[in-house]
Amino acid sequence: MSTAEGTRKETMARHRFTAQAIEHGKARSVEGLAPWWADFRRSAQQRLVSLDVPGPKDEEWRFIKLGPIVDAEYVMDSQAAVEIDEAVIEKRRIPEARGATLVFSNGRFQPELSNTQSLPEGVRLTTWSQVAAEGGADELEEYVGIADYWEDDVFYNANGANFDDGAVLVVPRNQVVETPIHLLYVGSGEAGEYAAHPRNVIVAGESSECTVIEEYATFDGGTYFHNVVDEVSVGANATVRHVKVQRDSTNARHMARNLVTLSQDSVYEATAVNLGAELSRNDSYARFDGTNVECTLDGLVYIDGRQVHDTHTAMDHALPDSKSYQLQKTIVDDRAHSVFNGKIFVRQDAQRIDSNQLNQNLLLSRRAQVDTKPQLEIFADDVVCSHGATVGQLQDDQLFYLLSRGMEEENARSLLTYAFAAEILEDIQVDSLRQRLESMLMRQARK
Amino acid sequence: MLLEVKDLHVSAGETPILKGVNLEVKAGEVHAIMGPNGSGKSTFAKVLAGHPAYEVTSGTISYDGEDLVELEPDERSREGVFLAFQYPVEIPGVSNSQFMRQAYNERRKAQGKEELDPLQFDDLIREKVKLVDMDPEFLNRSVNVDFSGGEKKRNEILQMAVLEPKLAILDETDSGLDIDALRVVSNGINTLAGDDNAVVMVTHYQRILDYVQPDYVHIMTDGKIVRSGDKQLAIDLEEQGYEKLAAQQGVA
Repeated sequence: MSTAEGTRKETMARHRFTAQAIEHGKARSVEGLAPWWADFRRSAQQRLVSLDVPGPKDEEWRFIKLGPIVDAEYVMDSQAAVEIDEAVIEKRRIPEARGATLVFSNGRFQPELSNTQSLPEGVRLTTWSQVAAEGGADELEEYVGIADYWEDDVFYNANGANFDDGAVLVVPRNQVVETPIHLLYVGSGEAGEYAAHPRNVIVAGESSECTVIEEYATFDGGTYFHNVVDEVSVGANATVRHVKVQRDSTNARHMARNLVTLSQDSVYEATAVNLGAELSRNDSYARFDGTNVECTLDGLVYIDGRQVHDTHTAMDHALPDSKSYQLQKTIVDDRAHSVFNGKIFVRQDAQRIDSNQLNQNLLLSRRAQVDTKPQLEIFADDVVCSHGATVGQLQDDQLFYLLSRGMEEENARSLLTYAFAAEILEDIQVDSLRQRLESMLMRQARK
Repeated sequence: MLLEVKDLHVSAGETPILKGVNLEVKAGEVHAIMGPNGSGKSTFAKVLAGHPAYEVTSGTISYDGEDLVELEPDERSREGVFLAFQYPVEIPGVSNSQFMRQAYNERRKAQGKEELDPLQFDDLIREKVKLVDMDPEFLNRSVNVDFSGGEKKRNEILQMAVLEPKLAILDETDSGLDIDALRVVSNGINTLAGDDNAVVMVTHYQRILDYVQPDYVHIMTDGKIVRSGDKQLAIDLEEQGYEKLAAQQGVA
């Protein structure tokens, strides 16, 4: 009998995955934990006891098989510390964010590689491990667990039952943070197959502005599991730009919930770029808690080999006078498989909504697979909504045009593939990041 | 002989479109191929560039002594064949200058010449842009995206000016142009045309021949060149119309 199976019986959990998550959570230090935080952890553990892992019969999960994530035996991240030095990090640093970078290795904060000196006074950029050590948890309570409608999600609870590290950003009202903030998570398989549960909490005060780059990378192609929860609270009249770059090891697994709450007159612009991981899932949910909100959830997925990725998003217009935009592009090569489900809800009283959603998929191989479901549910009458999905190959007329100008077919194909993807990057305002992603896509397109 | 087309038959799927085209073009010559809609003249232009929608079922195309039909579209281009598209294709995400530099360098590579880096190419393209009277801002935009009809055609001529082809085939480049754009396009063609290369203009209208002097005019109807002559033929055509001229098949 495996350890996990033993734990499953002991905790009466319904699955070894939840049993492990409970066991790991209970093994974590409670030192420095504010009472609300300890309660939060305990409640998540309790909920995990009665939850089962989702299977093919669950509508939201039916296209992917979670085996690689839920059947694995994990080492706790706290026991899988791997020393990394500047040489590993250097080329991944973003010059614009040099004085505003938090580095995590195998889910654990690395203070000696991090630097927050470029941030204006009053901006709080710290980590949960530092909060536990130094205090100051109480002002964060109201921003954690605000997405209580996620409480029946196994992975959300596995994170809640465990999180003791991850980034905390609080931007006070009226503060414009010019320096982009870089959260860099580096994963390695060196110390065994670990499970880490980073929680990134981003709070933008009234009329504030900030840009967050959340990145997952590897230097050794190891096997590990990142189970991320982001909670983003965008205050009234505030602007948050959020770029996520997931290029975890292609042997790793990545699960992410990005839960966004938008107050009136706020702007949230997110771009999620998913390139890595053997199996990854990226869920972004935006709840419009005020009027005159503008929300963009763009995404790019570019996968090959046997990679599997699933993006689920929802934008919930509960109140009138808001805008939502979504351009989700996917490129699948070899035997890769990508899933997209994008929900847009316009509630009955949410009049004068403007919503645009487009999902474009490019299949580069016959064995590649795409499942897409744009889902628009409108209960109001005075709205302008458009949505659509396309699945196709490179366009013959574009290809012929390039060939007729002397480009070799292989180069023409990679240029068109690159161009398809690069459109998503156009809105990224951090130049070095955009250029880095562009050359990354160019290299991948030439592969 | 730069281009020698003999008894060319071409089909699109099961449908025969060209039914025995013969044409000889020498370096230094400008040819105009005129004809009504559906005569096959645009198909002929595209076949010369190697468009995959068409199949050569019989006949031959010899270009500079080579069997053109055997060459892939990109090889044809690198050998100096250029087609200005009737409907230039939009390519979002690829900048016009990047596109032209890549095309230019592919051609240079094939000629065994050194490739130009972005700065060197920028000098070259800025000179060429003047020729077509185009705002250099268009170089930074995605290829043909949000270009007007006239701008697209100028962009085709710009590409021609950059690639300096031996055989330029212009597929109704003059259609839908206002007089200013027509002058610009004509000027581009006249600048290119020299002793070492040839121009084949496929056109529906006689107007461009006021600006570009053809050495030969051919009339195509129903997949064949039915009459050939000098510029006078275009003038006759203007007066009498295709039907009448076509009826005099073989007289010229």
